[in-house]
Amino acid sequence: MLPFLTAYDPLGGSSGSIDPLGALQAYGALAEMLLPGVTTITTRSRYLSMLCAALANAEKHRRFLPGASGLEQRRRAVEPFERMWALACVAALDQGIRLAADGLRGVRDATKAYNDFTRRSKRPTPDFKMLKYQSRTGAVGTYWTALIGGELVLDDTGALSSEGLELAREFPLPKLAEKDCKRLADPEMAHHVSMEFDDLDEWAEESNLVAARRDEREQLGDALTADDRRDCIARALLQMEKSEGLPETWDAKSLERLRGELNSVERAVNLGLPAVVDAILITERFHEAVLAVFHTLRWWGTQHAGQSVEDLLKEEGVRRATDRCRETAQIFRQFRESCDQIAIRDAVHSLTSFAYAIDHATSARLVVDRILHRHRQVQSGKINGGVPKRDWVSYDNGKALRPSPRFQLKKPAPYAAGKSLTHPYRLEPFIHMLRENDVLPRLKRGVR
Amino acid sequence: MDKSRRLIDTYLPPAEGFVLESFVATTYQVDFEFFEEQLLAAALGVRSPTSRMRAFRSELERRLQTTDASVLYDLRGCERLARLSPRIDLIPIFGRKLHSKISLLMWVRREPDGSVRDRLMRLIVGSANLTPQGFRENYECIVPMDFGGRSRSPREVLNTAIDMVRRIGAESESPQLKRQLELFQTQADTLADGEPAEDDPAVLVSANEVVPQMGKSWAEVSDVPRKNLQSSRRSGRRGRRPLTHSVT
Repeated sequence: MLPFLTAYDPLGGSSGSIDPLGALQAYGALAEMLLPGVTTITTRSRYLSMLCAALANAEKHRRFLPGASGLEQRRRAVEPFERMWALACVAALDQGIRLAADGLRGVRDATKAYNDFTRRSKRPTPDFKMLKYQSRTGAVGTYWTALIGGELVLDDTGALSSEGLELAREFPLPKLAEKDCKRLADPEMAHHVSMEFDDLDEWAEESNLVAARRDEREQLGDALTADDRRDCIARALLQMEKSEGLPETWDAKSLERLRGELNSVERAVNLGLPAVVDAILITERFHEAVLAVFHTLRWWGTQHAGQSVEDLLKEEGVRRATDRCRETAQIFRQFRESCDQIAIRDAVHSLTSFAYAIDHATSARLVVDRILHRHRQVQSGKINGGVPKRDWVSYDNGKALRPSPRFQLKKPAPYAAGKSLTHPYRLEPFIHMLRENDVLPRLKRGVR
Repeated sequence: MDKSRRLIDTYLPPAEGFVLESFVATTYQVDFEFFEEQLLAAALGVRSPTSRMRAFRSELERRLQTTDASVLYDLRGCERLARLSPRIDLIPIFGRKLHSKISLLMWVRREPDGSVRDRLMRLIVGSANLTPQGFRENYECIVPMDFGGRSRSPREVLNTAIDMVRRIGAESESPQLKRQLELFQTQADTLADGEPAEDDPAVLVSANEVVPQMGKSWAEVSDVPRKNLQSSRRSGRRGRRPLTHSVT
């Protein structure tokens, strides 16, 4: 191989590159308190059944090492099964079953392989490459946390729990001889496995992403609500659905409604969930306010390069924005001081000193200075740990603002009215999975 | 090897089933946060995001239980030490300037009973420091070479790289580094001599050996008895006076 020039690769930066004011830690902690074990990318609950079935097949035919080694082995063992199942989902789509492969990880590779098998009249096998790194971005990488959260597998070994075994029984297995089922559980031997097209089509009808039967959906619903917090959220969502329906996109107003419903669920009150929602709302409002000023500084430095920041601070809109920062900082500080839940106070701890500094800023200029100081702290690693990264925007000779070329902005930020959320709180994917399994009523066709 | 030009991709396992067993790198500058949270995390397959720091650290430490990682860096090129896993051996070099960027990676694939099935190694030589700028922003030039498996890369190149790292880290007396280099050497000794393919590098040299080596290579391919190599970087009293070597 000849030497080559490396590619520009700006994506995949650490949290400092998408979180200029260091709010990610607080967001992560609050999101986990609200919906533990749910992520923004787990959207198709049938993956849980498929993984349980794959694990059950593997456990039936192989012996695994104890502890963490066994965990790694199990995670690898399900990969050929996943690839075979991906072919089945594509086959189901080919048969005209709508949404049969909707949300399938690696759908492009599976489709390409399926078309190739069809064109060459070759028996479908799991011997094809799906995703660049299936172990990281396929079923295991995406849904393993949900398996643990749903109490379907044991955390330390990956072995199926009794609920996981029950769920596995509900998932149809491919029509294969026993020796092929054994090979399917072994990544080194799985390339010997193949199926007739008819058998694949038959399996596809029952196993695709939308084909779960009632018993399986019931068990999936149980898994999704296995955790008390998730169960309470599901109940509150159901009540919201019945009253005014659920929003397509969640904003502050929707969260307020959720909080209202949670207040009527005794278990939710005991778990402190309404207070968690309060914490989210207050944190989001503060973060939105300071972020708006930060982005305004980026815009000003881009459009008015060289001009003193004092000119920026004369603008009415900017003074309103800095006032909003102080107002929300005060509310944040007061909330944290009066909150009796240690877990919530700990969750938002990383923003406390920042809120305090903004609350005590006596002028718009001080608000700006403290926002830039916070940004510098985040970038320098004092917040998340590490060595200095470049600031997005900083002072030039203490007067003018100078945004780094990559972070220049052509438009000013809108006023932080406290209506929108700056982070996703995983409610949309959770609702989608609840609907799939009739824990929440399904939407009528045409309504998303 | 994949055609990806993303530098970080060259640190990922060469195939499914392989896990990183040993990682040795030399660099002038190092950004410790980048190294741990991006490069090493990617190389080890850590799934937890850094936004969930506790889970991330826990997973990273678990993976480092079965992986040796050592970084030799120039003390002058490091602005500030940061919190890093105690399992990573950081070796500051403060005599001669350490400018070379050599990475040695070894992956292992195991049988179900834990015994070693096979190992693969990769040598990466280039211009990129272990920093986000080096890996993501700058134009950097690199060449990765694989050893083991079906690869026929010249073993001598790998031996030279191991020896270079050994010499750089000689004063450090790090037992982990010594152990890692011994393992690399043991594995290298099991390889065939190999032969460079048309586009493959044939030899690895240090900076002071570049010109003599070019002369030697030139002599092998050309019947022109003498060539002058001119550098653009020297300037004399009347404009530019070239740095000239006669290569025969």
